[in-house]
Amino acid sequence: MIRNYMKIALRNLLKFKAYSFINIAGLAIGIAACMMILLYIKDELSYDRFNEKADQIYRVHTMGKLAGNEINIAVSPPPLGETLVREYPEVVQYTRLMPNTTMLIRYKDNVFNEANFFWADSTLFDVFTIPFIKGDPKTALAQPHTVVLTEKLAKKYFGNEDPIDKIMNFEDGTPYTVKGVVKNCPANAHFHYEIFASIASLGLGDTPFWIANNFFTYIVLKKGVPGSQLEAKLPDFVKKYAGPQMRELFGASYDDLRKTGTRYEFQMQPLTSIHLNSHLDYELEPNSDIKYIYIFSIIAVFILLIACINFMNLSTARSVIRSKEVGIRKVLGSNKSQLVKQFLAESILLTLISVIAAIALVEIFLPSFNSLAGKELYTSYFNNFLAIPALIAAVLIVGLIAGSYPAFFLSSFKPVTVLKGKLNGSGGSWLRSGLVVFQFAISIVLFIGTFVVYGQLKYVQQKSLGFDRDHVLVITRAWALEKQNTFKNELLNNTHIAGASFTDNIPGRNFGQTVFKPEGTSSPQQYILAVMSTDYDFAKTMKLKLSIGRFFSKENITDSLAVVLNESAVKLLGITDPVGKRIISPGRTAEQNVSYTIVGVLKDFHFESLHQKIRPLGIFLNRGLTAYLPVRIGAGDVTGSVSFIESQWKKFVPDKPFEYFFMDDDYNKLYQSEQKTGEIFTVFSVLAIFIACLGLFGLAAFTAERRTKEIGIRKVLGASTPGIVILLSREFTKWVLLANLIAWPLAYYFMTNWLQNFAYRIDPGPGIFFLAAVAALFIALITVSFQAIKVAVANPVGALRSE
Amino acid sequence: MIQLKNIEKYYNNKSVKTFVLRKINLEVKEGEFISVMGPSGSGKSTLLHILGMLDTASSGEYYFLDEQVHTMPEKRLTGLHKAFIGFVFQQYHLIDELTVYENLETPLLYQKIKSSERQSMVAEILDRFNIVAKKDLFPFQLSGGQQQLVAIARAIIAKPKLILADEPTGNLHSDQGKEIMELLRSLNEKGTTIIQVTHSEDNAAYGKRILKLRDGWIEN
Repeated sequence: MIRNYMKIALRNLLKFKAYSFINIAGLAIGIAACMMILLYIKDELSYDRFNEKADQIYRVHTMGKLAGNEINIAVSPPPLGETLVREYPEVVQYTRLMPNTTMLIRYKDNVFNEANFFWADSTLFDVFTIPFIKGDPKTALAQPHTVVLTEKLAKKYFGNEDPIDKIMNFEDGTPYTVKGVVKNCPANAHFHYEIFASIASLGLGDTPFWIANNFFTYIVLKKGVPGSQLEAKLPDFVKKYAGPQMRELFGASYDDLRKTGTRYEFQMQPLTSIHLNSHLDYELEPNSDIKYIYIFSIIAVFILLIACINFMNLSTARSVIRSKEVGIRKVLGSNKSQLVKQFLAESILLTLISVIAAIALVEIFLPSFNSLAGKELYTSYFNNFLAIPALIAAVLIVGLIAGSYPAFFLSSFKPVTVLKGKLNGSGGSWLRSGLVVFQFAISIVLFIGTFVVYGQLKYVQQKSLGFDRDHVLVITRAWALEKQNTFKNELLNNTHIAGASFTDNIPGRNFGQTVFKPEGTSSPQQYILAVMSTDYDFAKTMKLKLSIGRFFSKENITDSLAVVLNESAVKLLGITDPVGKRIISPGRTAEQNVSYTIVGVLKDFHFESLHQKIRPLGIFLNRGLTAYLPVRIGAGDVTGSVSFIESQWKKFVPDKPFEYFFMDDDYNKLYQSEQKTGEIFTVFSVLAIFIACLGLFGLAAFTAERRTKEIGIRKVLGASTPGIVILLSREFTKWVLLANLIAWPLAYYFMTNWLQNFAYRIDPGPGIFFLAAVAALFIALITVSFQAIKVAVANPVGALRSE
Repeated sequence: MIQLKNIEKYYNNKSVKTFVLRKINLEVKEGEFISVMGPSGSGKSTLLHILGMLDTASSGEYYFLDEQVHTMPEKRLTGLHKAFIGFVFQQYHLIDELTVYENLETPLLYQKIKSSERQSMVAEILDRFNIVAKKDLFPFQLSGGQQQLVAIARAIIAKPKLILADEPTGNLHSDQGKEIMELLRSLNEKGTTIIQVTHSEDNAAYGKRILKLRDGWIEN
């Protein structure tokens, strides 16, 4: 029996090749898209799970409100981990990490700048699963001036030599001994290491300072102890340890501070949820977002649904063709359930073919998808014991979903009716229209989503930031220069160089913050300002605009105790007529207070990403480390200017590598995650629309075929070709317009929600919705009219004779 | 074998009953060959469909081999019909996607007959109808007469007690038609009960009894 069914199914597939192709192609593309999204999601969900203690590890971070400023930071105070272990028996281990932006490391002639550098406690390897190839994890980072490298890095510095006990020199010349080589870092980790150096080397001693946060603290809880249990005890812990220091700093007791709205809390994040759920300031790396996992899952389901709907629609539209067979089979003694089985078997066979095609598609397109998503996804059907059963389940489920409606629809035909040829193919057309409307509604939502994402990304890239980030080359590690001013003057002598300024930070990077209060107020209220330090030329180099006053100048010797604020800072501090007023940086005692004179106010500029509101900022003169040297390249030859700057660098510091980036590239990295998701989103939106159109195309073909006779008669009666095209397209136009009405509110809801991620955002006005409607209608009409025109220009005689 | 008592068939059309069959009383004995005649729309085909259990009467009683068909659930009905009744249509109604052999095999599949037995039954019927050479051809590769031959072979392959033929020669020219009628007659002589619907007096003459329908009523 089943052989008989399969024979019929295969012969039908071959007989109606175009129809079969549309069905299989649609399903295959849908399934392939789904598989890739699933691989992506699986990878995203696997972050940090390779750690054996993954379920016991928590990161403790700091939350609260200090001096009127919300703090949500991934870092925590230095003594936190150790104290937690001492205080609570359920905390079995802790380790701290502190990243270093970059570290210049030398071994003999091999000098490299290492970006993935971490200071780490010796307990690191008790917490995280980092397999050793050489060395002893127990002792590797126990002593000061020891390092542990990854295989890759060991190879880079030492080639085939044994790295153990070799001496490497850090930038300041300090020798560090290699005490271990570990496996390379897995891609699915929330931070990526190349080299660990012992925290003991920093000589911090036992600084019991509870208000400074600069370490990433990870703790291991006893098996089975829920994180919430410990978290509940942390408020008392804070009061006990941080309370006294807060009193010293803010001049009020912990309890009093709490009454005035000050909060200072430690919270725990499960290690495995960091990658998708943590969006704090100062993250080790930009994290992904669980929202995207949801969005992509929904897209995967929708794409598959659209493909299944194609199958349903085309099968029921073709019911006239199959109805005769149904009638005969019933006459020959088949009952309904046998027919249902037959049609389900057919759709499962078709799905099986589609899945095989989908596997091929995935193999072909996975590399491109990987480069799009920045992943290293791969398929392993035979290594994963779940893969094959999952595929078989997919075949059955998709086959049953896609085949269910047609099977019941077709098998319920009355033999008398179908054998008399009374069936006109309009059966189920109401549902069919509904399904097409549904398909297009989904597609239009995806369309609008794509437009909004791109609109917003374009907006954040083009919005005037209040400074000019184009053509700015930023030299990193500018501290390597001994004669900074001579170097700068050398550069400025070149007419192509429009400006340069030594700074400790540049827009787009993380900014530190400090507490200030305005002079002359008796209120204990203090305010947190983001701070940076620059030389005299920063405003000129970055093309910042002054609101009032002036920027630092060499003529004013007192500028070393001057500050330039931004407008937000003036507003926060509540100073009217600010130039000449002073702000105080409180010390431990009144004698240690330092006051700065406000010499100017800058117009607000976006020194951080557009996700955030502009924070209050204070700029000081030459107070910090000169980490960066942004150089503005004027009009003309950029490549030439870059090589000129490089040659100057070589002249001044021949033994240090010249490293730089362009500010606009660097700043755009702030939107990398949105950019990437936006691209993936677009690809799948296009796929969804494509599959929907494939179905529409097939449906239009059948509608046209069904109405061949009607069209023949109309033509004989004098209808024009355009008239017939309009006649045939009208129905579909109606559907697409209806789909828009459904899609708009949905899309509006989702997209305004997504835009909340940005403090500065576009308003998804009617234009975008209208554009999506026009695009969908245009695509649908092209698809439909292709068929309509074919029928409309055909000779009516042929159409009428065939009856 | 068959007993119809007061069978009526009507459709409700905007609360007006449109009758197709009126008070049909009919008894068919085993081994009969009945020709049903009448103008278009007189209800011939509907009567045949009701007899073949493809359609149900609106009222009245139908006994088939002493079983009450009019109260029977759908499942039993399918079972009864597939065990005892063979159908022949004017349009042949072979399954286009199946070969002659596979078309012949299909009713046996629905009766759950074993593969080996099926093979011999199909081989026997191919031989009897002299169409062995055509067994791997598809319906569209055959002439009308040959298709109807296959259709009849398919109707009788499971050895039904009753054959219902709806204008079996309607689409054939007279030579082929005659051949088919002879075939039906010889089947009848071997004991199969046949009820045919026909327009042609010549073909009706093959039957042993002629039933005339007009506007749904049996004419006496």
